[in-house]
Amino acid sequence: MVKPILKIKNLSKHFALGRGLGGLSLGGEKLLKAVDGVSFEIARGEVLGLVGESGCGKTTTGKMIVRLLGPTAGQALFEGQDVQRIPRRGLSEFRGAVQMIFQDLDAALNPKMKVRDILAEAVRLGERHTKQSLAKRLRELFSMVNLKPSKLENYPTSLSGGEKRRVSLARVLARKPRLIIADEPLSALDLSIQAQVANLLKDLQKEYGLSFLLISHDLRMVELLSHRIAVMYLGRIVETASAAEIVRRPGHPYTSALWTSTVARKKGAKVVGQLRGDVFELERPDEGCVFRSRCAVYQKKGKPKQCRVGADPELRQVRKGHSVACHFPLGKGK
Amino acid sequence: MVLTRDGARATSNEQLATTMMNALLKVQNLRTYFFSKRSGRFIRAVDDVSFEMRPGETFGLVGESGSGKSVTALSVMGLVRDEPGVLAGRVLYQENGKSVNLLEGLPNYVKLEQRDAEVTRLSKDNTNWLKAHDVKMKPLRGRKFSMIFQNPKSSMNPYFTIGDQIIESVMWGCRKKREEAKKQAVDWLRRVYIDLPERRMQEYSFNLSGGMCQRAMIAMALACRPKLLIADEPTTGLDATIQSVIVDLLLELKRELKVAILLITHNIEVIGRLSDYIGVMYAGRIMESGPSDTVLKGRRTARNHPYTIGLLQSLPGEDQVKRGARLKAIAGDVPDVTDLPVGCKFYPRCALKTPRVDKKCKTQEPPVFKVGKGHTCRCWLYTTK
Ligand SMILES: Nc1ncnc2c1ncn2[C@@H]1O[C@H](COP(=O)(O)OP(=O)(O)O)[C@@H](O)[C@H]1O
Ligand SMILES: Nc1ncnc2c1ncn2[C@@H]1O[C@H](COP(=O)(O)OP(=O)(O)O)[C@@H](O)[C@H]1O
Ligand code: SF4
Ligand SMILES: [Mg+2]
Ligand SMILES: [Mg+2]
Repeated sequence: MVKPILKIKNLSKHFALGRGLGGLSLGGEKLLKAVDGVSFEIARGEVLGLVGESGCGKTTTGKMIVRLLGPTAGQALFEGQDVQRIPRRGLSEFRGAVQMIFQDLDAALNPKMKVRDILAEAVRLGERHTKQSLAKRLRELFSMVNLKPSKLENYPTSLSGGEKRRVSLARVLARKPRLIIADEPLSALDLSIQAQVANLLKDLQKEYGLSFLLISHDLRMVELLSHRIAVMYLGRIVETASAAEIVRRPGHPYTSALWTSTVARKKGAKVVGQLRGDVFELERPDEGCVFRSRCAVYQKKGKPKQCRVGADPELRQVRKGHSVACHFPLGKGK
Repeated sequence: MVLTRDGARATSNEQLATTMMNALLKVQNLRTYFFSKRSGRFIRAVDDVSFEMRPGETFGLVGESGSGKSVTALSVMGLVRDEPGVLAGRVLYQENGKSVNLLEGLPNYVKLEQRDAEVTRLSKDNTNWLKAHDVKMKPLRGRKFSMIFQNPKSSMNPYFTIGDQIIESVMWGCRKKREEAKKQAVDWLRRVYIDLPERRMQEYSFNLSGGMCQRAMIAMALACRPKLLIADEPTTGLDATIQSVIVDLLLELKRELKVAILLITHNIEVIGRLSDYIGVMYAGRIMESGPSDTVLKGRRTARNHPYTIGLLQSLPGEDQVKRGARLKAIAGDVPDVTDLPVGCKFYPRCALKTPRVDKKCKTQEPPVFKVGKGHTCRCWLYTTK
């Protein structure tokens, strides 16, 4: 098998919770397991969609991959190399090869610099240029993201949301990345602009064979743009499968509920255990499956013991390329 | 066009009653402008907006950010403070067979002249305008009209417990004594499915999740059984799963309480699930308005507005989600409110204008055309001439 571009092994990030935060910690210090033993791979040229409710650890996972955060345990291997162990002299190359795009449209765009200078700065980190060749390169980057060259003279504050997103993409592309962590790249954009940018992401991905970790809560968009999807719940990956498979035949009760309980569902569509309540209202169980308090299957099966005791269920393959972390995966035995 | 006073349109009570029929609220030709110091031009946030609502009905205003949805709601509530603010129009409200124009007499404080797209003269005595309007609105706000906002956390006061805030609003809104108000507050928290309501009463908003806060806000807004609930982006920023819970809750309460809801959101799915009627806003105007199903058909044959059609087609829907498929994006960028095109505000992005109407689209603002039963479009395609 071809080596994956990114391999995550048992990655964890625990934060010390102060007292009273989130109303959850009664008594002494508690650990927040923002990311808890996550493993997955991204193949070269693959788009992996990462979905889950807010606070489940998606951004934290992304930040560990680009080395903005150090893990509590586990590893993120980029092209076989543990990102935490990249020597100082290799860091600049790494920061070009693996980049993160943040949800906030203004992140990474210095309001005091012209777009031209923002891009030139990024280009120069990885390439040597004469004045002419730099100008050519900037125009090239702008055409990659479908922006008019005249916008190079603008300051970020005078750009629309869609234009800002394009500039931040151009800035990332300036360093010829191989893996992009895109954290909610569409959610800050106007509705009529989201489709344009989604198309752009798709084109860029195909044209340059880029690999993506696409973090988003918009399930339809993820389905459209990803090859494979990983579903996260309270710091754990509970299911991975190809995009088509996970939508058609979800194996984890959470995945099924996530898709059917969104407002996007068809009128009158049957709901397999709508998610009542919200993650944060419920105490996180110390033992057993963390999802059980909201799980329809757990209720239907009369609260079986497997779900209550022992460790959280492990990800297990139910079909080729389809893994589920549940004692009673849906659609099994049929 | 010169818009000064509404004196020209007689507003005797009988005449009002006839225009109202069985409506609860009728907004007619509302205009609310601001001034942009940066560009030295007017921001025509709400321009000639009309719609009506009947008791128990949900009217959904959908549109992208900046299209004027919130300003429309704030204008109805009398909460626009910045100048020049509300300039023209009527807001008719009917209860127990009695109708009032909540903007009656107010145009006397305003002088507004426009030619084509340019404001040629504008002056407003805002202080007295606000004073006069507050006299009309005070008894209604929090009693007959109530409002919930996006980001419930920031609209709750962090220094008071959830309980105290609901109790306060029940005491004011339903004229209740503290003890009784407290009982009612607990009942309402239970009604919006908040577990352990007595305990939650003691908590502060920052200790609650976004979804729980929004439910507490809904409880607070509905506790005194208002006739009209304005819900401005009630699900925005919440997770899809929690959005769905909020939508279901609103559906349930709407049925039980028969409260009219002015629902504002940029989320087409939320609008679709909750609304009986829909208005699609763009650049301060309602471009299309009609029964929910008709507007959301969004196919050309269904006689919809090109903007609605474009927007609906750009969403990744059931059939578009074929891997490898591209989305049908609307071209161009969102409009600059201080520099709108002269003719149709959607003209630069419109993919459906035909040679027959192109010149008109470019130079003249389309009026409201009736295209079906209770269904209108502001688009030259529907001119019969
Ligand atoms: N620097 C931090 N300190 C403490 N807690 C944090 C920090 N960053 C994130 N968290 C917590 O970790 C959890 C996961 O956060 P995040 O990765 O941002 O989730 P997501 O991106 O899925 O919404 C949340 O509960 C969040 O509050
Ligand atoms: N108080 C204000 N002062 C100046 N401009 C405003 C004010 N409130 C809103 N606007 C402008 O009016 C337009 C409509 O805003 P709004 O109604 O908030 O849009 P939305 O449809 O997103 O709710 C926007 O361009 C906005 O910037
Ligand atoms: S009036 Fe003309 S430009 Fe405007 S939406 Fe209709 S066809 Fe398009
Ligand atoms: Mg995040
Ligand atoms: Mg708004």
